[in-house]
Amino acid sequence: MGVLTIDPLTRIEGHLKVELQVDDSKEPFPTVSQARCSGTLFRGIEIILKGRDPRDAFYITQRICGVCPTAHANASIMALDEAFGVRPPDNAILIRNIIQGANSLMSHILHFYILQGPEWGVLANLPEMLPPVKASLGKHYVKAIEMRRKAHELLSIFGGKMPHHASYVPGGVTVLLTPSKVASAQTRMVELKNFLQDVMVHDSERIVRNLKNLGLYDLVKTMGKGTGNFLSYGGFPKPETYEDRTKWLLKPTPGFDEREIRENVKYSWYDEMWTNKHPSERETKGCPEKPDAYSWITAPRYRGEVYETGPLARMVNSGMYDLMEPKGSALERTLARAKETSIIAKAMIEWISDLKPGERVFKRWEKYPDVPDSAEGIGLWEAPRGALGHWLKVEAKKIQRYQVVTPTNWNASPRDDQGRSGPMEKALKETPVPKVDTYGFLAKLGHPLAEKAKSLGLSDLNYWDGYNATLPLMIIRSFDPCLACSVHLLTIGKGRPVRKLGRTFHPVGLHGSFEN
Amino acid sequence: MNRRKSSLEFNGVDLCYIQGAGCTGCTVSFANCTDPNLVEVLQRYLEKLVPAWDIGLPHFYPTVMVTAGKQAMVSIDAWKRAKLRVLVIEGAVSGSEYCEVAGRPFEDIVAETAEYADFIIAYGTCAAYGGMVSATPNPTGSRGVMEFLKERHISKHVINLPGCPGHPEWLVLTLSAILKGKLPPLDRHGRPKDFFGKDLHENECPRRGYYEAEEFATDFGTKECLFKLGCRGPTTRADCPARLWNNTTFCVNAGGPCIGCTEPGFPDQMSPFYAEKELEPEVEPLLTRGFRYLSELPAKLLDKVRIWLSVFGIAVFIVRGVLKGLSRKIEK
Repeated sequence: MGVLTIDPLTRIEGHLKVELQVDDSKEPFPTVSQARCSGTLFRGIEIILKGRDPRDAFYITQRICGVCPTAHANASIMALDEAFGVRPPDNAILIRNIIQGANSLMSHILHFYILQGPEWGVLANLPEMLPPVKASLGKHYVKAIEMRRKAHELLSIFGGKMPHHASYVPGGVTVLLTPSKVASAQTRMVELKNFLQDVMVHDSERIVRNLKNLGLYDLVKTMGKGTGNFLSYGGFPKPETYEDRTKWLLKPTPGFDEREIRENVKYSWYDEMWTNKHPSERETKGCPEKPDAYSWITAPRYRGEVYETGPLARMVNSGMYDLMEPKGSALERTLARAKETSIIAKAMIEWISDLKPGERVFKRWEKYPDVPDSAEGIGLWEAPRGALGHWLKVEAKKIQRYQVVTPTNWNASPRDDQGRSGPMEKALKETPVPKVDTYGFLAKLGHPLAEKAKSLGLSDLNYWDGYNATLPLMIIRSFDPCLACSVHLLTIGKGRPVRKLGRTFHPVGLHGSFEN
Repeated sequence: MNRRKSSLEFNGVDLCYIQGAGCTGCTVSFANCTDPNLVEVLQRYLEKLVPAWDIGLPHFYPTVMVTAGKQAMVSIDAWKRAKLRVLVIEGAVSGSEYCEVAGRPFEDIVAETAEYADFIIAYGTCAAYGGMVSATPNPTGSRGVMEFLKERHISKHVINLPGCPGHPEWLVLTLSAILKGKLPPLDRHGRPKDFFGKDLHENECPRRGYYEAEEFATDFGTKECLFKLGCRGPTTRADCPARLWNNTTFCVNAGGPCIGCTEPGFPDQMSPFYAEKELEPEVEPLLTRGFRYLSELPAKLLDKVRIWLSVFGIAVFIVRGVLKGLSRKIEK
């Protein structure tokens, strides 16, 4: 039994550490028998939000994540709309869709090529997807950097700047709509759509084809199996169906009911008194001396089951993607992501042409410009990485409680009260962790790139402590984890005293050891 | 900045980009740069690591680097032996319990790399002044890089490039200045004067005319000045209206009031963002004011001498003319 630690886990958003317990007796390669994921950065945005003007939530929650700020913006503004009791005008609904759509495209392009692309490029023998270390490599990689920038340009026409745009208010948006804005957005969108359909979707098809030709498909297709439960809240309404989630472009889980969400904390450092509660009822109370706990991430569960979230979940729930493996895999998460970009791109063109310059984009709420004395609101939305929920409570014109449950909270969750692992931990189980370097690994698979990897000096890649971490890295990255917001509280080091909100703890450490 | 180097000796800079308590937004923003774009920056500006490769990748940059885990951390050691070491820090430095990289507190990593760096750039408001993470009640004890280095008694200059996120061109142009062996002149908050010397109004905000005419918007989605809706443009020093974001626009153009994200007081001084708020004029500390007075004194004196000399000259001219006229009259 060996242990492989991956820290820092690069090419994701945020600070993630993964510990793998490896069973050396398995043939032909040792495999992972247990995995533990822990976030290693805590910022406490929810604590910062307390006592502020409710409208500030739009600006502050965006700063949770710089890759998908629009998702937090949309979720918080929906919660605010509900709290202020106002329905945005049609133009505003479309502009919010366009802003989120552009960001989803940018995030998916970034993930497909820059964050995860190099691994698929090596495994499926696609030199276009590798970083441009030689003139013959990386054509699509370089193009992707340019196209993701175009998506941000499109967004900033309506958002002002990106990341962290500036144009939402409860009751609508702030941008004065002119025909020239619509036209310059549409030009960029057409260019983006062409890239996505001609290059990105095409590349995703080539990955499958090449893997089949290389005889690696059978190994890869079962790699990173999830739980088979797919959660989505729904995203991208049309103005006429704004009130009915089931008619939105991306559909929620069939029969979705927000009240069935529970956060489990048996293996997280929180007081067990607050386990299995709805996010809006929970109090965050640290309990760092809990013997079995090993993470500061809570374990959200829906209807008592472990759910995976992300583009694959959305595509399956919307009936736009047919699963090859009933429980999904790392490859299918990537394919679904590519498929989703082309669906969003098509819809974007429609939304942009539906805009009506000259008509209003903002509607005053009842008490404008004052804020309501006390109110509650829920914002459920689809971030590029999966289902995102904001729960807001206003008391005496100030934020009294703000809870955020992010996609990575679901995907990277620790075990729950029944001892079931989260989707990412489960997907890592049984993953081969060869005891050879990348050259040896590729050679053992009979891969034609083996010699090339050696000549590029890449044979040592992902090989340390006697294990090759390539496959676990691919599986973790396929979830597109975004750690910045999934951690509510954190401490490191064994027995180091931690001051938290004026109290002193003596925690047992970020990760209990595997022995106990 | 203890060692000044000539640019001619090197092909480029050696970049180590570390991320603390932040949101990766500054990285995403850096990737938005154009003319040169990110790939060109990497090719032109960064030291080539492997001679056979056509591109220089940063030594350490978690979001884009090829390696992970232990291998990634080895890259930092390689950077320490490089020639022109530039350290870019994104995100605030939070208390040692709250941010960890490779099993070590982020604080220690900053202190260690800062010792080796020839130039330190704090990119984004979090790294420069603490930013959003250090907002009241500052649950993680976060602060900016400058403040942290002072705490640890590490005397190094920091170039602050605030903004939430930082503008990509601010970083690229600063890297260019470093390549030329020049330090951009900084204001008293450590920001390059070229980018942060003037406020939004002095940089020709397109809605300034409405401000002068006192036509203020009362609803969102209109074309008038946003001052009464909470715009902090008159007191925020940044060149956004002239430089533009994402090549297209900036917050006020999209009807979003400026929230003052490049100022040291962001976000607490600016919140609540949608309320009109007269910011108190900045009060300069006495000592720096004294220094500035003394340093500006010779120029001021010279100006005075010039004025008095010209007054004297004119007076002489008039008096002479008058005298001449008088003498002519007397002669007659």
